[in-house]
Amino acid sequence: MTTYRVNIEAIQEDQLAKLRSAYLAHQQIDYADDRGFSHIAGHHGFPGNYCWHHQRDFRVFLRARLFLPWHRAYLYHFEKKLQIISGIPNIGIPWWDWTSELSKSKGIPIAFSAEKIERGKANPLFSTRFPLGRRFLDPATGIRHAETWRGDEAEGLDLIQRLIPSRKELEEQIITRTDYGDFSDYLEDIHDVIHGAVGGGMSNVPSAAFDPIFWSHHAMIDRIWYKWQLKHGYDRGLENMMNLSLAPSGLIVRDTIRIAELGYEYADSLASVSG
Amino acid sequence: MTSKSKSKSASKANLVPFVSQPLKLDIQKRKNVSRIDLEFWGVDHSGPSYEGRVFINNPKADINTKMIPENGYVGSYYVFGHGQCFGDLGHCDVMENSDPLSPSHPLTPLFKVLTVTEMIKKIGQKTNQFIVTIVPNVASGSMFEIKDSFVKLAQMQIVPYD
Repeated sequence: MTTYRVNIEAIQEDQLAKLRSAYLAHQQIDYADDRGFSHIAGHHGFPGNYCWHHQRDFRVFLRARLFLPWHRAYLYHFEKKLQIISGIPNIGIPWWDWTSELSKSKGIPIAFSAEKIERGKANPLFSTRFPLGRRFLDPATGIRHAETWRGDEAEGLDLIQRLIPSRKELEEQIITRTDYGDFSDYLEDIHDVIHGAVGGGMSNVPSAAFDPIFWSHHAMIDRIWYKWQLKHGYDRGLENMMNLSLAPSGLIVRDTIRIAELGYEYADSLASVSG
Repeated sequence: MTSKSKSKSASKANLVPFVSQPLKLDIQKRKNVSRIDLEFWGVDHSGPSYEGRVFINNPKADINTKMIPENGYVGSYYVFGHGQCFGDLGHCDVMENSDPLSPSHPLTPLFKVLTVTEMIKKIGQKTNQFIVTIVPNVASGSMFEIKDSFVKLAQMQIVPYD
């Protein structure tokens, strides 16, 4: 069965409850277990440092723009483990459309901004814990972790309103770009703004992936690339990169070209019942 | 390139902007130019994430300067910074890369670009010198010890295209 990634602004209540349940189960797995939320989050920045951003280093031969395929593989790996750990086989990462009118007027969607949910329970889409290096160990308590944190909401909203394109601008000025490198660089610039707009741990590369909203931000980036592929061709711009590794996911670029082959799809929303 | 640097810690409100040396370009002589890019090479991103508000020929611009064309504002670039290192000592050190087929280190400096066609054409009617001021607006909650001279880059250039 296909995994549907849905718009967080349109998600049904029962789907949101499943999502929270899945993230909570995933976050409760110990860091040492490589299937867990925090272990996979650690691949991005701290401690893994695997992520690809703004690859423009002329001291090395490899100048490939792997930002989009690397993160597609990363989300796929995360989503598979989320499904296994939660026992919800088709739970998908929702996408956050920061070009929407709602996001441009309110900022971060309530599903991610609410600190508490029903009966005063902590919202697993708002925050989770992340491990720190040994030098941060508190000898008195033995604690070597922190909770993820966010920045100022008003400052973030100001950035979204000024520097993030509208949906119309996205369709007309970004998805129409014909050169893959030009498109990828521009999309990555927009991506950078959202990291800063969420602020706090999301604004630091090492801690960003520990914030639960990271995955939905990148689902939006991935969705935009998918829309671009539908318009310009699946492998456009990647011809010379097909066999490059996207460590540590175990995939190469060729594996990420078609999302249908990865088993997922982008939808607005989803309603389902058991047969 | 140098910035008006001081080494003390600074709050977000009094971060010192980066002010470039003048870039010289006789744009009024170039009649067929259809696009002009302002490129920033070797942008350091080891510090906090920040918006770089870019002003042309307004070296006194600061965080309170309105982002309007009358003040020389041409747009902003955004840097997704590494901020604080949560690892152990040496975790984020940039290592020499001896393998030409391996990807670059995550702290390899960035490239950023702004398309500034109309503003450069307009300002270029009166002068052939362009001073670029970058006013940093640091992401909130970055929990990073901010130095007031943290905007660093290797090179800046104006590139017109016909």
